[in-house]
Amino acid sequence: MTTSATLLTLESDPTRLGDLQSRVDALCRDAGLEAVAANEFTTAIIEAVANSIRHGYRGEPGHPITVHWRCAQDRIDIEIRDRAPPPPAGFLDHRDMPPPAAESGRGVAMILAYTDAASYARIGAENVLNLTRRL
Amino acid sequence: MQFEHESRDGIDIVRLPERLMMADAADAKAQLKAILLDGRGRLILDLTRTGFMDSSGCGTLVGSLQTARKQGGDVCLFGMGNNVRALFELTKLHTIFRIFDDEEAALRAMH
Repeated sequence: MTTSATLLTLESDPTRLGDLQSRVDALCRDAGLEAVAANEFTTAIIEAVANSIRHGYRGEPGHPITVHWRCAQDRIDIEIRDRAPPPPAGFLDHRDMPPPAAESGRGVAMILAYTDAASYARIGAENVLNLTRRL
Repeated sequence: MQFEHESRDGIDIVRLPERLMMADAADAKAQLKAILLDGRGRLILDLTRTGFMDSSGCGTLVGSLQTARKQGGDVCLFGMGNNVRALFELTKLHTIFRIFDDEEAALRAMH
């Protein structure tokens, strides 16, 4: 049973990620996650949206991204939608964290580490990424 | 974003902002590289205010470490809060950086 829902919309502009981080972190805390857990799930969401901007929209500003927040008694479900070209097949399979000296490549591993479930689907012209964190 | 930066006895100290994330990563990396190349390659990063870091922020710090080590220097960190500490443990970054509780300890280690 969904007890609360919030729809956050933003453009594909990296400078908007700071505001999104503040908003999502507050929602996580309101939902009952303690500080570090709230930060972890917020990080997963920010990484997913950053991937949409960086890889999906190739850093081009002005494209839509929506973050649909749903909080139930025992979990938070997030649905992130964008209209970018689809990501490479199996991109969510990159579970292994790169070596510590690597300068990049941590995003998907961080998303998977900080969520209890993650799935991707292409629905019509949209990429739909679902992330879940249990409370 | 302009970092707060000072030098003490030839060691550069930079105060990082509340967030270190994608939007500022390229600029942050360039600033830290310039500070390292202008100095002696010995850099201390103050994370006291930094409550949020994403993978781009991790990349920025790793890049600065690589620049420093190419100069025969190092990058030390202090003031790490719980959020960043948890991220460092997940990404194993704590295995490549020297991390201290406070600035004086980091300065002693650099001398």
